[in-house]
This record gives sequence, C-alpha cells and structure tokens, in this order.
Amino acid sequence: MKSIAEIDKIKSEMQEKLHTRTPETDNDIRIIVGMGTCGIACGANAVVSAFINELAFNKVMNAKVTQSGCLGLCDKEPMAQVIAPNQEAVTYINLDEAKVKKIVSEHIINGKAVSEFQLSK
Amino acid sequence: MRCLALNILDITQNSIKAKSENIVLTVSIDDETLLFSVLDDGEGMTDDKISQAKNPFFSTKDKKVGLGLALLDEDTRDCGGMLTIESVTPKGIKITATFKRNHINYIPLGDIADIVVNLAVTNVNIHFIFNYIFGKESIIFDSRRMLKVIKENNNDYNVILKEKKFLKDKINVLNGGIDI
Repeated sequence: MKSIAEIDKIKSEMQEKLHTRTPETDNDIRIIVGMGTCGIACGANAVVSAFINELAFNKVMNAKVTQSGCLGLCDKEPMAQVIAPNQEAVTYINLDEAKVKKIVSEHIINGKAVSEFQLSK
Repeated sequence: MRCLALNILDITQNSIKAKSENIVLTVSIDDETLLFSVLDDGEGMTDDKISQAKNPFFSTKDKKVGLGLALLDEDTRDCGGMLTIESVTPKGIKITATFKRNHINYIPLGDIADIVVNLAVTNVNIHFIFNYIFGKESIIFDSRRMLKVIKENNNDYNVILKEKKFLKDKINVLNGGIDI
C-alpha cells in the first residue's frame, strides 16, 4: 500500500506526461464530414471537395478536413462538424457547395458559427 | 450511387473502419470490362461474415442495416458482372467487382481522381496506393508523396487542387479524352 504523498507524486508525474502527449494539431480547426453510405449517396464527396476548394482559395492554413462514418442522422446528410480549439463542436446539416462557401468565410475564417445551417439543439 | 467511383469510395470506408494501415485501390479497364478492387490489411472477416456480407440486413458494425456491399452487388449484377469478397493472408480483405462496359445498365466511372485524392487527404494516417490500368498502360498515385508535399507547403490546400488536376489530366490522356 502506498502513502497518499506517493500517490499524489505519481498523479503529478502522469499529468505532466499527459500534457506532453497533447498533439500539435490541437490548434487546428477540424472539419469532420460524415462519410457513411447515406452521406456518400447524398453528395458528401462533393462537400469534401468544396471544403478543400474553399480552404485553398482563401489560403486557410490552420484547418484540416477529415472524415468519419455515419453521424446517425441519415435524413440530414450531407453533414459536417466544425471543431475549433476551445470551442464547442458545431454540426451543420444538408450541406451543399454554396453553404460550404458561407461556412468557410464566416465560421472558419471569422470564427462566427452560421446559425441558419446548424442542427437545432 | 450515381457513379462507380462513389461505390469505390463507399467500399473503402469499410477498410478504413477496419483499422487498415495500407489500402490499395485498383481500377483496370479493357475493351469489354471494368474491374476494380480494394485490398486492405485491416481486421478482416471470418468466412461466416463474408458469406453474409451481401445481405443488406447484415452489418459487422453495431447497426441494423449494412447497405454498402449490398448496393455494389446489385450494381454489378445489373450489368452482367460479379462481386467477390475474399480473405487475404496474413490479414485483410480483397473486394473485386467487375462490370461489362457495353451493357445497357453500365454506370459511368465518374471522377475517380477527385475521390482518391479526397480519401488520401481526409485519412492522413492511411497509406493509399491507387493503380489505374487502361489496356497496357498504367498510372500510380501514392498518398504519402502528396501528404509530404502538403506538409512541406505548411498545410496549403492548393497543393491538393494541383494534384487532383494532374491525376485527372493523366487519366484523361490514358482514356483518350472520353469518359469511361
């Protein structure tokens, strides 16, 4: 049995380790597009292309486009989540190229979520 | 699916979910048939699961339906082709689909360059190799090379657009300027 002081010491050591393990990409904005069968059939690939085009056009360097599986609301596909550091994730539904354009210019560049395309809470 | 390339994207999602590290996509075209295959080194499937994989009400994930392979199976059978699912050693799955190109129900291939590059960009931890074979000539795309160039350019997505255009142009030249 270890004493409480020892346990506290282990705790502080582990916390330091955990801190160093934080990935460097933490400062990047992540854009997660749902790529289930439902999403792909509704045009999720066009949404990924649109995000890449807009990020390239606006020369945004601190955002990354990634993908996930079905996000669970197949009737609202194509969907995407935008996760900015230290902010809550915002889910956008029924996306198309025009909406992506607006999301990139308002949310990703100016940091203000576009409420009209959001999934209502 | 509107085009075969979207089917390839959909089937590749299974390989991504199975925690594959390397995925080889092949599209091979001759005068009569189009063949595509997806080879991965993921978790793989037991023979029992493989035999049920084409059933739309069977899924290895925690869902009630699994439509990906079922839709592809229907598309292949509609135009006189076939879909095979086989285990590969030491681990992984190979899925091969063939289509008769002169069949009335044949669906066009679509923008395969767009889909392969998007897959490589959105799954940076997976090594994608894409082989496009037309007759006796072929094109190879390697995702690691592209990701290295993106990193060298400080995550500039203009590199991706250039890569897409380059791959698309090469495929177009091989096809002789017609849509497959």
